[in-house]
Amino acid sequence: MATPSTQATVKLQSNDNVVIEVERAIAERSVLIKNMLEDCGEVTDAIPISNVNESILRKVIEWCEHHKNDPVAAENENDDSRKKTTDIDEWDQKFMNVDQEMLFEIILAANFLDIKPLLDTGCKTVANMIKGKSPEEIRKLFNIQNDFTPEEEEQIRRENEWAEDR
Amino acid sequence: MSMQNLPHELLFDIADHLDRSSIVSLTRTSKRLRPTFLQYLAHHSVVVRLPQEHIRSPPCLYAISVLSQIGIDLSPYTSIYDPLPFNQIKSNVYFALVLLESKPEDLLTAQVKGPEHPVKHDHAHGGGEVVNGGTCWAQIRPWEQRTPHKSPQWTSELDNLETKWRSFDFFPNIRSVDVELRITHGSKLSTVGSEGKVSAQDPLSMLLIARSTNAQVGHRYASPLREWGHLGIYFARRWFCGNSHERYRQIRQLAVKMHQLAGSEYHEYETDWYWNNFRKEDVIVSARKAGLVKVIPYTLRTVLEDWGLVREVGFADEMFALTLHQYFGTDVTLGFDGLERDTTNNPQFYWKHWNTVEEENLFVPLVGANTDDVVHFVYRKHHTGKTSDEYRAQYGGMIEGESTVESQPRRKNDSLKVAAEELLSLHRIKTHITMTAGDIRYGDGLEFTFEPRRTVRSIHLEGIEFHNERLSTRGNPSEEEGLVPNLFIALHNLFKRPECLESMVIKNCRLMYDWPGRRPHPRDDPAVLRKWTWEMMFMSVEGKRRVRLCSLEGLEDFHNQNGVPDKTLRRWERHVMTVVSDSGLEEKNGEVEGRSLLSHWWKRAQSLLGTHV
Repeated sequence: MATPSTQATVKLQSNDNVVIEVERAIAERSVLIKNMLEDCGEVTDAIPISNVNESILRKVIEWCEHHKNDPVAAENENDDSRKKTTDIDEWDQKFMNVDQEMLFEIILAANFLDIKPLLDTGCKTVANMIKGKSPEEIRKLFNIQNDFTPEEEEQIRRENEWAEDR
Repeated sequence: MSMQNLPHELLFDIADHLDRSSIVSLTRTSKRLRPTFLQYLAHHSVVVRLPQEHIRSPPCLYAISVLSQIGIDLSPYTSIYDPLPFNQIKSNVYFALVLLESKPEDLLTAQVKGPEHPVKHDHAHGGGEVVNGGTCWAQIRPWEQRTPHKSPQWTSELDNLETKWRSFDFFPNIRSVDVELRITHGSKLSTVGSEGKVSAQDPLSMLLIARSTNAQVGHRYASPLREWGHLGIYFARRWFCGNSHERYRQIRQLAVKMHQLAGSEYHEYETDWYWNNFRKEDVIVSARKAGLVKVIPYTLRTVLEDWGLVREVGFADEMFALTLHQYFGTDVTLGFDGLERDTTNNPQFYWKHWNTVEEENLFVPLVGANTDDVVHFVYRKHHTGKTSDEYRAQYGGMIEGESTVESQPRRKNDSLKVAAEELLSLHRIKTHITMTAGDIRYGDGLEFTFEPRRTVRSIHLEGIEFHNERLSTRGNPSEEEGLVPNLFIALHNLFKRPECLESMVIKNCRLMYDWPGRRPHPRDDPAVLRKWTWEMMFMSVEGKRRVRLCSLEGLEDFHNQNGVPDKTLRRWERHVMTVVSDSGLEEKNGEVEGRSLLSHWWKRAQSLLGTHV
């Protein structure tokens, strides 16, 4: 176990080799980085965030900065408390008002960096986009190609019929 | 990056925030996403099958406690997309619970593990019977045992209510609940959703399961529908009453406030008073201002705001009455006990109050009532715009204010069975699908479709022998008393002038005016009986037609003892599907003979669109 560090900032390196220096408290919104810093003690080199490019990393940091004072959820907190709702606060809604590609990249980054609140916000945003839509509307919204044959579609419709509201 | 490229676990995370129907929609978007979301549904759903062998015989007699017995059978049915081979199940009424985001293991472990593995949710034990480590299903029992009928002394009402409420709180993670009742072919009969509302998909089928008693003395079997209602209302309470104690207190406040608004502290049993006062605008407005309406259970709110919908669903009414009974306390009884039977023992009372009369009392008014009295009373009662005299002229039968009870012997205990069976005279119906002789009770059925011609959308009769019996015509001048086969009253009630009928499939049915073992009726007149034929049945169909499907096959009657010829059947089919009145396209019987059905509807469409080709 490394000794606790008093380091004020850390450097994060995106996968396109851009180094961004951020406050340690902000970076530690990421459980991944937090654990890494705890394990390694003082880290002077840039921490490679191999799955995240610069623009997404800056977005994530922006989110972390805004939420740096939020209480950190207990590690073993019941996941159910964060489910069942798709409420998103106003700032987060604006934050997530990006194109779909970036939205999914943020979700991926949040997952990689282990930032559960950000991941939830991203997933809720997508869920809100999906809610109440028909398969066709969902396809259109997310540019999903319908690769079912008409026969398969009919088969699926029959299979699902019992489970769907009529 | 797109949605399709997200890893499974992130798609699951998204699904965590979705309702079931949206997830089902996602399964239908692409081959890439389908297995992921199906997997999610499979892992977050419980489908409970209630096989025939677990249902007390006859099928409609089982109580909710039976569900505890099927818990052990849950394990094979945890997949939402492969739960049951619907088209292979024979003679099943089954129960499907789709509990999204519930954890199958909660239910399964609760069922299979013993006391050494208690259920982790303490509240699930509240007041309930702990069986096999606290099965949640068993917790439903206290409710059944605590009906006001059996436990009139509710000294600690709120505690009891809370106990029951907690009993339903067994799935802390339930996000949405549909309690669905289906039959053999998989069609959904009814759904009690999370909001406690009930929808009936197939009123005719609903009839089959609506009856609830075998009329044994001292035994009551709550009907599946009633239990569905219980489930629905308790789920509703769970969802809309996060703080049960406070909510119930507020409901009581509402009740008190309503009393005050009405300027009276107590009321004798008079259902209309409650209905009328609950529906009064000033009461609702006042309750809203007091912040009461928004916190009462949705079912109750539905009654306040959406009376018409609930009105058609018997047990919703009943549950509402029961709710009132509970929350108004012992100051007012709503007639679960102590009915003045001498003054209420008549069909009028029954049909006026069926929605609030407890089951055993519910049938008392039918004692001695003649079938057509009841049926006709219902018809008249709900027949828009008909005066009593007009009704009498058209249908015969009694009118409001008349009663034949005095002249009839009281047959307590068996009256329920007899009266219900006689009600539509369909007690001899047999089908290989859902009905067996003697299982059908139409008493409650009429609660749901008290006017079949307005509610029944489909008729599917197969393999049935209709036995003509005598029925008093009760003054119908068109028929000689005692010679009308009541079969025709029953079926005509469904067929003639139907307003909602969309499909009619009648196969392999035999219309018998005589059958082996029948005791000859002293007034038998074969000449009269023989005129009641399938032809008369179908060719007398008239009214506003919406029938899109009519399939007749293998019909026999006196004149066609070797079966009605195909050509004749097709003619009847065409008639049933093409007779239109009230639309400017009046057709007389037989005039549609030889006309192309397609042509007919094409012209109909043209007339509606105002175009000419």
